[in-house]
This record gives sequence, structure tokens and C-alpha cells, in this order.
Amino acid sequence: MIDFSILQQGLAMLASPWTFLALSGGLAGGILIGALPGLTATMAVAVLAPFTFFMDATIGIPFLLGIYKGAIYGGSIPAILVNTPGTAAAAASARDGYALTLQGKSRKALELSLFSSVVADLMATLVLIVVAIPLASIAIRFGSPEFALLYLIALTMIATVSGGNAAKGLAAAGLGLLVACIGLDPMSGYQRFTFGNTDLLAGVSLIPLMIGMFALSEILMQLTHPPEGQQTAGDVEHGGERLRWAEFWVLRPTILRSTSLGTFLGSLPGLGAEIACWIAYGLARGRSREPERFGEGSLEGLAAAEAGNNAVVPSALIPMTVFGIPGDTITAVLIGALMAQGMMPGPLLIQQNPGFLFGLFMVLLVTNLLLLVFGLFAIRWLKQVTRIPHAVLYPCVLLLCVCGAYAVNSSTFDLLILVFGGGAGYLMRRTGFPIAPLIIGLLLGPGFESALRQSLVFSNGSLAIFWSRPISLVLLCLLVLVIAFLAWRGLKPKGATLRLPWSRRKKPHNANGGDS
Amino acid sequence: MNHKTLPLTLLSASLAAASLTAASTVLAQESHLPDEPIRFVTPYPAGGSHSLHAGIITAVGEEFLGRSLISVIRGGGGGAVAAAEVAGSTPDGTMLLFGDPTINSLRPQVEDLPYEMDDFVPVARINYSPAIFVTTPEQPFQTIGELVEHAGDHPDEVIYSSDNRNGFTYTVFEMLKGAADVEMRGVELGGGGPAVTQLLGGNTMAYAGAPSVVGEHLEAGTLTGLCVTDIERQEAYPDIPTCQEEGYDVVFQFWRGVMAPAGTPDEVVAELSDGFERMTQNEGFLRLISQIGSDIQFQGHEAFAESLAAEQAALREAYLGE
Amino acid sequence: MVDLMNTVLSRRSTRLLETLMGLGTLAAGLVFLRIVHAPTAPYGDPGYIGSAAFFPGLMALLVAALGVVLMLMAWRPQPPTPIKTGRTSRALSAYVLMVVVAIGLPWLGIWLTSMLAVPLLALLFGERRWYILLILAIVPPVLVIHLFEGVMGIYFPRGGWL
Repeated sequence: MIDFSILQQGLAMLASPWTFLALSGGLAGGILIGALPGLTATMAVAVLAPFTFFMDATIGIPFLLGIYKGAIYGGSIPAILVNTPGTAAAAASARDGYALTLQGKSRKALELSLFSSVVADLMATLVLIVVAIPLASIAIRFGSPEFALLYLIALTMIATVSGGNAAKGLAAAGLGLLVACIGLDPMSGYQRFTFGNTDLLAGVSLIPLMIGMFALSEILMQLTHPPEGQQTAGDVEHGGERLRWAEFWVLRPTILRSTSLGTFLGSLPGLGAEIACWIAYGLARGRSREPERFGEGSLEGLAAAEAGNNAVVPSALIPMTVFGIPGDTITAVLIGALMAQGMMPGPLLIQQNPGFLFGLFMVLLVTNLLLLVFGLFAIRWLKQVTRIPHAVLYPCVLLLCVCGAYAVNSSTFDLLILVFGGGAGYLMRRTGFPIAPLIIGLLLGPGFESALRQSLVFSNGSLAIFWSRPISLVLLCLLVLVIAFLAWRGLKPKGATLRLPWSRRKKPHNANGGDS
Repeated sequence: MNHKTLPLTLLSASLAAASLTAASTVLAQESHLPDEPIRFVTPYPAGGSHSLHAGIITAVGEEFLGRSLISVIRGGGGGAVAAAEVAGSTPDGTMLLFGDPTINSLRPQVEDLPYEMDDFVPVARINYSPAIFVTTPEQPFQTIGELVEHAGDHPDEVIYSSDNRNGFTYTVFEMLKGAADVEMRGVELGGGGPAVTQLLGGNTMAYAGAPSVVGEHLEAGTLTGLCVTDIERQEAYPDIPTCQEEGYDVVFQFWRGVMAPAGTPDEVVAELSDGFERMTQNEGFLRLISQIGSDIQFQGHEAFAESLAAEQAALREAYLGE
Repeated sequence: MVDLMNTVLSRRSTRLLETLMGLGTLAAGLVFLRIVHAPTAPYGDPGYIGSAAFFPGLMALLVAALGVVLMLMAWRPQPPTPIKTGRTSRALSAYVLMVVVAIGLPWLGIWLTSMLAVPLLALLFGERRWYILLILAIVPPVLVIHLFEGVMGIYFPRGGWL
């Protein structure tokens, strides 16, 4: 079955030094772009795609893939170091990653994030190569009712990131879901809650708000509670100790779970890394032996979030290679770039140009190994970031945030959203409201609402559609199980710590900026 | 540091090579444009065919317009946010909108948007694509006539993939429903990708989309073409009849064109129009456009103004019955 | 100053602050609820699940209800989790700076805004050496703005005064 010439053709592509150079360049550039808040992988690929039209396919496409992978990984770097997720997909990594940095373990966090990313990516790429077609034929059967239930399952993750106070967490999530309703409703054409403001027609932009809530509020928190200072003076080896192999090895079930989850979610067209990281994080916390450490610098939490969001990258290519359907906005741009090279991704590509497709898979695998090399090299320097005095570091973070928030839409209104997010985030952190539920609500709200309403158009208004279809029935049972599990888990510790019912969780570290 | 500059060097090298091969063009001796870059606003998020076209235009546009072009991608509100921003900008040719029929003809007439149809003057039409009505081979109807018949026998039971309210797919289905006097239910899925997915997955029964979206599936046989919303058959799909041939008067050409804010001086509009015309005649540009599965049906500002007025009137009639 | 850092707000002020947060949540919920349920029902029937008004209406109701819960919880017999005090005034001045940057950037342009904002924030962080402030005013803006404009082709506002 396997044609030897195809293998040869594919490997020849890798052997070209230009392909290799383009890949490395794209990867390095992607890490940098991902690390800058506001510059997302989607934007980078979209902006640079037209330039690849002038290049040969064996240079242009690896270049774009390098950017894509680099940018998804790069987003976790500022999330860990300065609590500023570079991309929405890294928001979950900021929780435990930054908590580790505060404990002086930034090197460990960066290394763990890199290793989890690379391992998850590698496994998901193998899935793409081996079982793309069967997986895609399952994924394509997912209709709006199944998506609505998946979103609902994802929304239950709010409970796992709410910290000690469930009411505050729910209120934050509710506000996020409410803010998500602002803007032009694509299904009905109504302009909802725009208060007559033209810019609000587009809704409240997620990335500026998120940068404001995480990064600007972090700057304000640092001003309110400056660190005591003994830490910065005494440390000889900066960034703390490195990750030990044993520490990584015990995480293998977590990483495996997150990877399978991310791979599956990525193969569903429309669900991206932003959502996968939270579900993976919530799942890991549910299965963990020490869920109380989540949000306080848990290695498990960081590994789960990073494996979850990076596993999405190769598997988002599954709908693209099998059906020519974009799995997310980035693959939509990649399809455009492939078309520009005269290659239509989809069923015809497998038949017409299998050599190129094989080469593409090889490029994906090599990108991973390169990511490991680049990442290790970058960490040597990045761990020094904690050495930069705050008076220099945070003004630069502010500048990056302002530029990044503007860059998302070239919109000055987004700057107002950024500052509003900063103020709201600061207020919430001072008063013990968790920020993560609000971001999850904002992320999932629009998808859930439209999937729910689409389902009702399918069924002509009958709710029975959620249990009359086999896949949705399975998902509905899963949802019930998840809720039952959360309820059981939530009730259990109550009895154990009855003495201190109003502060069940340990003393809140939020005031110190540890919680997100 | 050296890693960062690498992609840039690569890019500039390939760009330079590309512009060298392009024919050099004489610029207008006297320009009426202000001496600053032109911001070319794409009203949809990055990733769609609009932003791909805009990427090519802004990458090669400078030598034809005499000003550098900056691609501004400003999505949101189905294009309304960018349109309102351009409509309110200084009308001197420094900010242009990459418009289309839903933004410039349809929605300002049927929705309450923060801009009016007359806030824009047409500069140049770059190209257009029709919609192709498609279905899967499993459906009980395989021609547009059978679809209409099926919908007539089973009112409100044919479910089709739609995009957004008053979007491209939404509009052509409304036109078909009006022309054939049948009832069908559309599910607004927000874009071509999910719409085709749901159709292929058997959740919906029909769809209508641009050749760039459905073309490959037509070739692979996973989708069947029913009819084309153009006045003549497509060169690439000679077997698919036009809707008019089949007896349903559904014609909708989804154009992509450059619009300037109203009040832009006539000589500036004319100069821009000439510049875009020279660009669309350039071989290098044509090659790039053909690479993204598109082609050029250029109209200068005068011809474009006429066809636009006709389209706006036709839509007013279809939607508002005036 | 140091004392200020590790003390907590008094129980009364904590309760007041928590009540205010609850009140704010309630107000946000009520504003949205009022819009959805306006006499003209601007987004359709809030009672029907498939309408554009159902989901926002439900969420607004949830938020308003949670606002009430939060207000009640602030007055439970057990004292609420104490809130740490800190140098709030300094954070407030930094926030004012951020607001000025966001509002002023379209008029003042990216260069002037960033060259003022970066050293000013450093000043708030306690940096007093003039040469460091000068370096901060020049190096980060030049690097960051060229990075964004050069690599990503983003064109920042130059301001009306130029």
C-alpha cells in the first residue's frame, strides 16, 4: 500500500536546508509573537500568509506551521513569568505557572510547560498521522446539539476554578456570560446591549479584556503589595532548581489524559485551544489526589493545561486534511495558504499529492523536536526575567499590553476595554473574586448560546433533540456524571473542615497575586 | 535576536523577487492623494477570503497607487464596525473599505446600523463570485427543481446550512424561497466552514456557497451542485446550470470592491480607480489571485457605481417590496 | 508604611466592601434584565429558549440573584474572609495613568504616550535614578513599537499634534 516514492518525496522536502531554515525561523518568530500579549497565532499566520504566496510550497507552508506551533507554545511564557497570558489559550497556564514563579520556581514551571507541550504535541501528531480519517468521520457527526452539550460540560469547569467561594466564582462566571452577550447577534441580527455604541457592535473583545484583567491588574497588585525583597537578594541560582525527571514522570497520566482530551476537542471543527486548556485543567483537578494545590502552584495543573492546549494544534489539522474544513481560524488561514500553493487541502490532497502531505506530517514531527531545542535555549535566558527589577519589568509589561490590545483589532476602543478590564480585575482580586470563571464564561458563552439556539432550529423548538440523537445522549449522560461527581466532591471536604466553614480553603493567597 | 530577523529577511527577499518580476508601472504624474499611507480596511476577522484578497492587494498595491497600503483587519458586527469607522473617516482617500454586497447594499437597508448606504462612494470592483446551491448525494433531491418540489411537499422540513442573518447564504436562500414560494428552515451557523461541516455530517440538507468553499467537494463528488446564482454557467463547473435556466430568478453576485467614504473628491476616486485597474491588469497580481482560487472581474468607479445602484434597487425590491 | 502592608481591613469595612461588590453585581444584573424585559421586548420573547433574549435574560437573572446572595453573605454571623490592606493609593495613581494612556493615545500618538507612560510607571514603582528613567523612556518604546509595526504591520495612531 505504501508507495516508496511518496516516502522519498516527503523526506526530500525535509532534507532541503531551506525548508529547515524556514521552519526554524517560523518557530522562533512564532515563540516571540506568542509571547507578546495580544499578538495571537491566528493573527501572525494571517498577516504573514500572503507573503508565503511568493515562496515555494516547501518553504512557505513549513514556515507558517512553525509560526503556528511556536505561537501556541510562546503564549505560556509570559503567563508563567508575569501572569500575562500571551494568548487566550495560555490563560489556564497562568494560574499554576505564575504561582510557581512566585515561589521562586520559574525555571521548573517553564521546563514543565515546554516538556508537556512537546510530549502532547508529539502524541497528537501521531494521532493525526495514524487515525485522522476514522477520527474525522466521528467528529463530523457532531452537530449543534452535541456542541451545546460539550459547551455545557465545559461550563461546569467553572466550579473547579472558583477557589474557596462558590458564590463569588459563579457571580464572576455569570458576569462573563452576560458580557459575552453584548454585540450584534449573528442569528437574529439584533444589536444586544450596545447602548448605542458602534464599537460594541463587535462585542467586548476577549483579548484586550483578558490582558487587562490578568496583566494590568497584576501591575496594580504589585504596586499594592510589593514583594518583601529577601527573595530577590538571596537566590544564587536564579529561577530556582530545574525540573527533576521523577517529577515529570509521575505526571504521565495527567499529560496522557489532557492530550487525549485536547486531541479529541481539536478534531471537532470550531473548538480551539482556548477551551481545551480549561477542560483539561478541570479534568486534571477532578482526578487529582491533591486538588487543593490547584491554583497554588500545582505541577499537575500546569502540565494539564499546557498539554491540553498544545494537543489541539496537530489535531485541528485533522478536519482540514480529511475534509478540507478549517478546524479553527488558524487552519482557515492555512487552507488559504495551501490553496495559494495550488494544493487544495481535503480529500483530494491525499489522492493527488500524498508526497507533500507525508512531508507535511514529517515537518510537524520535526517542528516538535526543534521546539524542544529552542525552548530549552530560551529558558536559559527567560529564567533571568525574574531578576529584572520590578520598576523596569512592569512598565515594559504595560507598554506591551497597550500595544498588544490595540493590535488585535487596530481599535482605540479596545484600549478602553483593556483599562476597564484592568480596573475590574484589580477590584476582583482585592475582594477575593476569581478571574478565571469570568474568562471562561466570556469564552464559552457565545458558542454555547448559538449551539443551543441552532439545535432548537434543527428540532423546530423541541428540547428532545438533546436525548434523541445517540451521540448527544452519551454526552448528556456524561454531563450528568460530571455534575454528580462535582457535587460529591464538593460536599465531601465540607464535613472534614467544619470548624472553618467560611474559609474552607487555606488562607487566600489571592491578595498576593497568586490566584487568577 | 538573529532568529527574529530571519523570517523578515526571508520575507523581504521573496517580496523583492516578486516585485522585480512584476512589470514596472508609470505612476500618475500628478497625484491628488495626500502624502500618507492608505489604510485598507478589511471588515471581517483574519482568516476569511476577504482578508486573503486584502493581503494580496496590500502586498502589491504600492507600485500601482503610489502610496503604501496598510492592511487593517477590523472584524466585528458582521462588518458593521469597520464600515462605520470608514464612513466616519476623513474623505481624502487615505482610508478605504474592502466592501461587499451585504455591507454596502443589503444590511443598511434592512437593519438599523450606525452608517447609511450613501455614506460610501464606489471606487472599484475587484471581482465577484456567485453562490452555488449544493446538497449531498444522500438527499432525496439532486436538482434544484427536485429540491423545490421536496420543500413544497414537506413545508418547513428542509433544513439548510445558513451563515449569518442577512449574510451571503442567508440572502440567496431567501431569494430562492421567494422565487419558488416554498418554506425551508435555515440554521445560522456563522460561516462557510461550519455550514459545510454540518451538511457533510448529515445534519443539514442543503447549502449555498462560493466556489472557493464548495468547489473541492464538487470535484470530489461529496457534494452535488444544484444551480449557480449567476447569469451564465461557471467555466469550472459547466454541468451546473444557472438558477435562471432552471426557472428560478435567483441572481446574486457576491462582489468584493473598494469603497471610499462619501465626500471623497472625484479626482481622488478616479485616481484610485485607475490605480486598481492597472493593478488588476498586472500579471504577477493575476497569478497570485488565481492561486487563491479567485479571479478578476474589474469594474472602474463609473461602471461599478451603476451596477451597485442596480443591485441596491433590486435588493430593496426583494426585501422591502418597494 | 510597613505596618500598612500586612494588616487587614476591619471587619466592618470588609463587610461594607463585600456588600458593595454584591450591590454592584446586583445592579449589573438588573440593568441587563431591564433591557431584556423592556415593554417592547427588543430581542424577542425572553420566555422562549430559541429567542435572542432567552440566554441574556437567564444570565441577567442569575447575576442579579447572585448579587443578592453575595450581599447576604457579607452579613453572615461568621466574619467574612478578611481583605488585606496595602498601598492602594499608589495602585490608584497607576490606574489613573493607565486610563490617561488609553484615552489619550489616539490624540497624543503612540510615541509621546509610551515615552511618558513607561518612565512614569517606573517612578511609581520607586525608581528614582534619572538615567534609568531616561533609558526606559527611549529603549522600550523604540523596540516594542518597531517590533509591532515592522513584523506585524500594525500601524499605531500617530496623534493629531504631528
